Amino acid sequence: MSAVFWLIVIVSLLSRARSGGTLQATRNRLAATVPVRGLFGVVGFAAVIRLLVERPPMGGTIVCVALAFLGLSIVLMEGTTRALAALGAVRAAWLVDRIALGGTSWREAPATGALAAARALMVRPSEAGARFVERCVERQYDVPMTGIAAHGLVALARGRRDDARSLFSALHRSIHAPAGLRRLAADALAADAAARGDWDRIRTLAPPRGPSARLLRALSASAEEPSTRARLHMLAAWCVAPNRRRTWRLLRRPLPKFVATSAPGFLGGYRDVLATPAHALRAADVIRAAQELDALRGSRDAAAQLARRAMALDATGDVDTLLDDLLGGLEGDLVAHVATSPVELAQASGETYEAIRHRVHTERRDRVEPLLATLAARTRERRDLPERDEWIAWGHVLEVVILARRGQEHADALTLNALAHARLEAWAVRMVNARGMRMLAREVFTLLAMLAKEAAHDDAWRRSERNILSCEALGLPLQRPMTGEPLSSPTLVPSVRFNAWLVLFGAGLVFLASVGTGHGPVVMVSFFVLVPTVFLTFALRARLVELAMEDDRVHIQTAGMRQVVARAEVRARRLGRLALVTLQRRPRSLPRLLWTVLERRDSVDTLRAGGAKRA
Amino acid sequence: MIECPFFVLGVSPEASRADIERAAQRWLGELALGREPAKHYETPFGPMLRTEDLVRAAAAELRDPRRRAVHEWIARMPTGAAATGDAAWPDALWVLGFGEADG
Repeated sequence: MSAVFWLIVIVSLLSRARSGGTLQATRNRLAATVPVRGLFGVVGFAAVIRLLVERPPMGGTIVCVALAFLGLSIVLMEGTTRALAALGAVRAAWLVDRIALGGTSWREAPATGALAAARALMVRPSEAGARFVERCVERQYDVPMTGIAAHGLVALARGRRDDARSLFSALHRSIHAPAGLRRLAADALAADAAARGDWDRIRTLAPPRGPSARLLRALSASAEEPSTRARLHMLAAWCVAPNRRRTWRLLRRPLPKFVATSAPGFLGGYRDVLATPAHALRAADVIRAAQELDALRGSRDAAAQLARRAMALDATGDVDTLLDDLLGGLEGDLVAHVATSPVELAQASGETYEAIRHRVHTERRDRVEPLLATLAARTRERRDLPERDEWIAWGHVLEVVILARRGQEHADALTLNALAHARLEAWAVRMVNARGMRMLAREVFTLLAMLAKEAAHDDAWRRSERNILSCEALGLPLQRPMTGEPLSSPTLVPSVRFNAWLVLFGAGLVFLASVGTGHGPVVMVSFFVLVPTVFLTFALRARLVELAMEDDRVHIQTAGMRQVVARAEVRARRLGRLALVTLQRRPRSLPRLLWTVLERRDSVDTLRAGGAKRA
Repeated sequence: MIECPFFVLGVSPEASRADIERAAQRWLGELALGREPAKHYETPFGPMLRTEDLVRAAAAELRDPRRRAVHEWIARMPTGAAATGDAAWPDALWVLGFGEADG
């Protein structure tokens, strides 16, 4: 029992350390949704209580009661966080969520508290609260997905719904984001779509969906085809949806609904398409409008009327050219409107319809071009945006690329891949190399892999897959040697890392030898030597890094991963040959305090001087 | 075609050249004065925004007999939205806990 207890304590401590390098590979294999810290915390407390009950020390009962109370408090803190968020207490919700260790995965841990605070902000929006949430999220580089969700909620609180839509759209489409966050994003997107009257978006919202999104879908289905089953489904969705007091009204009143009425008479289908909001368009409407244009093209009456009128107006040229002008204009209107809608145009018969379908695909692809050109220009000129804005830009790109893929054929896929691949790849590579934004880069590479696969471009697909792995792996495979001027010793740092293992190995051997003696006090002493040795070895080894400086950036290499931070964010203090390095904003999975063995004693001065000594 | 000059100028397809020019001058004058009703015009696809540039372009378009013959076809469509109803539910964000109600 004792061994189990200590094992749990050690693993719990290590899981709390969450430093770069330690146990990262193991954690990487754990699903992103596993609340590692909370799990070990609860199990650890249970083990302590059981141990104390089995072998109560002096005053054991009091200790047991105190620890049980503390353990219960931690479990209850989740509820407390929710209650505070519901009350709109931004700072208190953040604080309690931090203390309760979040309920988030280890990957998302740095943003713990931010989402609880952002939820509270939704209840009581204020600029001060919004700034507080932003500060919580922006404490580090490479904002995790929880941070993106918090940014989205802040954007909603500020009334910037376009930005929020981009962020939530990127989050919801991400296959890497935790399911809980994707459900939250789906809820926000569904609520936004309902506010805009885009019920088609709600109906087509892909899983996972949150309770609000499910309620809206059920409402929409019930409004479309009222039936007892649909109503029961709606009631079930309402039961599990939040804000039941507010949403109860919805169940009792008819849902606002767009009613498309078929316009009779001359060019009724054309009028219907242009009068219908883009998001409510259906392929059948487009087919009907295209058939009208086909009929007009073959109409002798129409040609004769046009010829008579042209003659009356003294217009020159033949009537066929006039008819072409008329039909070309009408077709152009349809294309411009349909291209902005999410409607997917499947293959169907009809000369005009096929022309419209082809032109819509081209138009949608053309809308990708300026966004990519902007990204490419920013990459070329090294003009970076704040992290949140990079995510918003990514959300825009993702939306138009996904729209451009709708109903595409192989030739379209080839063009889209050729258009997007190089520019998005260069942007994503810069995100990783210059800004350490692996989360965003992984999303970009995932899209590129999909585009390359659709275009059957094997090389590009393999490269994108490798890049995804590189972004996910905390130790980058096939990592290039560090570039720039080395500040740390390239030989001593690996040597210290290796020797740390030897020390640990030695302490383990001593412990095993002491167990072999069977002498209780010796075992106890060696055990109490082993435990801090294990902890210190992992903790110190995780914080031991190699440093290299390149222009205004500092490359930081731990045993398992590399990050790039701005030189202005790095502070260093020399202790003989060692240096303590403090990061003002830390990259994901890196502790704020690091240490290294310097290459030269004046390397720290080089860092402070921004490379002046190199010149 | 969606910005049919006849709808922009609010004249019928039978209007004479002089009627068209007068209508253009009238709208330009009203827009210059910032009159609210002048800023929108009715089309078969719902109300649209009228600007001074649009009015000038419409008048110029109708001076070309070939273009006028084409636009007369479009102008045969009755104005007023072909589809009705409002699917927007502005309270949705507030009701579902994502911020304050619109308006």
